Amino acid sequence: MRLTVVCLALAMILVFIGTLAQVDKGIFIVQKEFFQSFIVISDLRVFNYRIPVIFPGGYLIGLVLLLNLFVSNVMRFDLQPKRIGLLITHFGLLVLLVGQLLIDQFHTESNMRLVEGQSLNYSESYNRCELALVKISDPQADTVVSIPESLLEKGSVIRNPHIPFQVKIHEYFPNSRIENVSGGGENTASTLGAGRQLRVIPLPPETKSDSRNAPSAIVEIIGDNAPSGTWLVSLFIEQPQEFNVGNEKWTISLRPERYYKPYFITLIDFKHEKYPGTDIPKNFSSRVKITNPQTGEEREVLIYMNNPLRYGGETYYQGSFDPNDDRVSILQVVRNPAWATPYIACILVGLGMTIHFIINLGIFVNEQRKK
Amino acid sequence: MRNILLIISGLAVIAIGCKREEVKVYQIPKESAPQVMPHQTAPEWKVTGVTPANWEQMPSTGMRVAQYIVKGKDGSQGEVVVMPMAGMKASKEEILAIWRQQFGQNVKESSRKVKIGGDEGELYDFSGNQPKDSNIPERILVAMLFKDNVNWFFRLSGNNTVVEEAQNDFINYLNSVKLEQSAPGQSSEPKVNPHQMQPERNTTQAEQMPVELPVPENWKQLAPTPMAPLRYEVTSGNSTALITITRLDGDGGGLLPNINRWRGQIKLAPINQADLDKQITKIKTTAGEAIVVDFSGSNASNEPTRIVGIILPAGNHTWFFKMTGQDGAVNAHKDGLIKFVQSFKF
Repeated sequence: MRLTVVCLALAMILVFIGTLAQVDKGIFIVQKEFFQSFIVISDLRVFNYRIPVIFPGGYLIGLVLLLNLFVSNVMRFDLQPKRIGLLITHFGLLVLLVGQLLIDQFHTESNMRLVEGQSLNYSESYNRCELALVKISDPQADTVVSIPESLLEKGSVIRNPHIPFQVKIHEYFPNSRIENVSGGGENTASTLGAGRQLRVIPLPPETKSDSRNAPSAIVEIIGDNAPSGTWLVSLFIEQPQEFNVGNEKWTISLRPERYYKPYFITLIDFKHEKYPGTDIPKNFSSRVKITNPQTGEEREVLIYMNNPLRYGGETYYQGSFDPNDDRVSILQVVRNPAWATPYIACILVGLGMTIHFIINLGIFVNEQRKK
Repeated sequence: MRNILLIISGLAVIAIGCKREEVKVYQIPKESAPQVMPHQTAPEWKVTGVTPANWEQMPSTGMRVAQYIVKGKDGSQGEVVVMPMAGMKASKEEILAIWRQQFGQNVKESSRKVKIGGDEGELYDFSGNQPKDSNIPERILVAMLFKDNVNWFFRLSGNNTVVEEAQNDFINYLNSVKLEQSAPGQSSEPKVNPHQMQPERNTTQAEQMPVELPVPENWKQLAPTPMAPLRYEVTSGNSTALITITRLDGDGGGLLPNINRWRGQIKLAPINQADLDKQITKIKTTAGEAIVVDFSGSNASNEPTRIVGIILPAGNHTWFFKMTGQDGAVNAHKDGLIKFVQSFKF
């Protein structure tokens, strides 16, 4: 009990300093440093002073709470009828804590931007990027080798049995912009591809929740028959750049992380109504067609505000639109395998407390009658 | 029992702590060209012509529908760029003034007729004494052709030696050039969104905007949002302001409704047309007259907030340049915003 109180107090302090740090660092960095870590080793800016912070992280506090709850219930397990409500309540809390851990580990949010008539079988992350190497010379299918942004460190060399070459990271810029260099020359970012006419300007990481970083990297493909030189990859360079390694044709690009699906979503029609004379959205809806080659399924669905499509373990919400192209719909795609755990936990806690109350009420009434 | 629980606890900690992202490999169906219906306002151009061996074609970027690196014999490089500008209202003299401006007062200039494809255009030759570290090339040859309501610019630039060497090849290229309009999405050439363009794939607006935005250096670019694809942050001391640039079709919903929407954002009451007329000032830009409004109110947190907005109808669109923020930053950057709009190349 004492440990639980200490943990809850620490959690409150963590939420408080995490909220303060969010102003300076942004929500994504704070989530990672403060709540998705065992130990917080960071700093906090207060009135232009930087204060070092070393504190138990969200994972550590949550795990101690979870284990303390679990161990204390097992050690003091006593299946008396009058304790059944308390046991159910504690079990509900366990479900809540485990469920939050599962959500943290497996929950993903992405978006799917569709133009009327377009079909896609993938959605893209809001804030995560990947270095995508795609072998396109196979006539049957493309092979995608996705290197997460977290592995793109300056000087690192990435090897994988599925790629017949190594990828050396010469430079990595977590946030950047790129500029044209008139006529190319020595100041350009790379010696091959689009980067021969561009240069990279490093920028500090974004701290606002509605902004995203635009990473860039300068990489080299090392291997027999690989082109000699460096490539600039950037979120600004939309089209993948092609190169040959022996008889194989590959493309390289730095792009938002993609989540591929075994089915296609086609946007048939997008309706977007605004309040007259303004840009304020009044109502918007997307008529989409699901085509699943595995099941032979092909059906139309209307997605509109508060009426999402639930399919293949994912939920498609009408997320946004393109104010400059009325044919474009942006769907928010949420995958959350543990979505039910908070509901189950709340039901269990509510049920446990109700049972506990009724039992104690019965005991109280009986005692009163005896008097 | 206690030991078993401790072991389980330890394993749980290790299992989460050791989680590390890894390289993923998977196969996907062949990606074909996206099946997108034609867009009525975004034509794509295919430009071909006879090029010598020392011209290397580069991917098209933004407004540059074709571009080449020209390699000189001494190792220096120049470039050839082809840019179409549809529906542009600026006169030929205004456009020439932009080229001249780059060279300052020492500009040397000549012009002559030149055959561009099957049509007759004009070729201008600008040169000047540029410092070595200048971004402005020593010499520019610009060929201009107005055809089917599109202003075409063909530019050869570089140092004097490269331009002199490439001059005849450039004329041959102009003589042989073919300008073909293709349906959107059919171009096989890689496209780059360079220089201060957003990484956002959620809008087509960026591709339709001028690529080389001459934003002041103290404007910090922010990642775009669906509603505002071009966003910049400006600061002055401890105060900050946000600049957004938006282009909407037609009149963008009308002047007065937009002004009143902005006023509503800083808790000011709507005004009528007569009041608005008293509060606007007008500025001249390369695309025509723009109106400037300047309001002070408060934001949702009741902090003093000021909006400086510039609305510019240009062609079939209306541009909205809006700076919102604390008074210090807005005051410090208002002149910069106005100068930026006036120098904006539409």
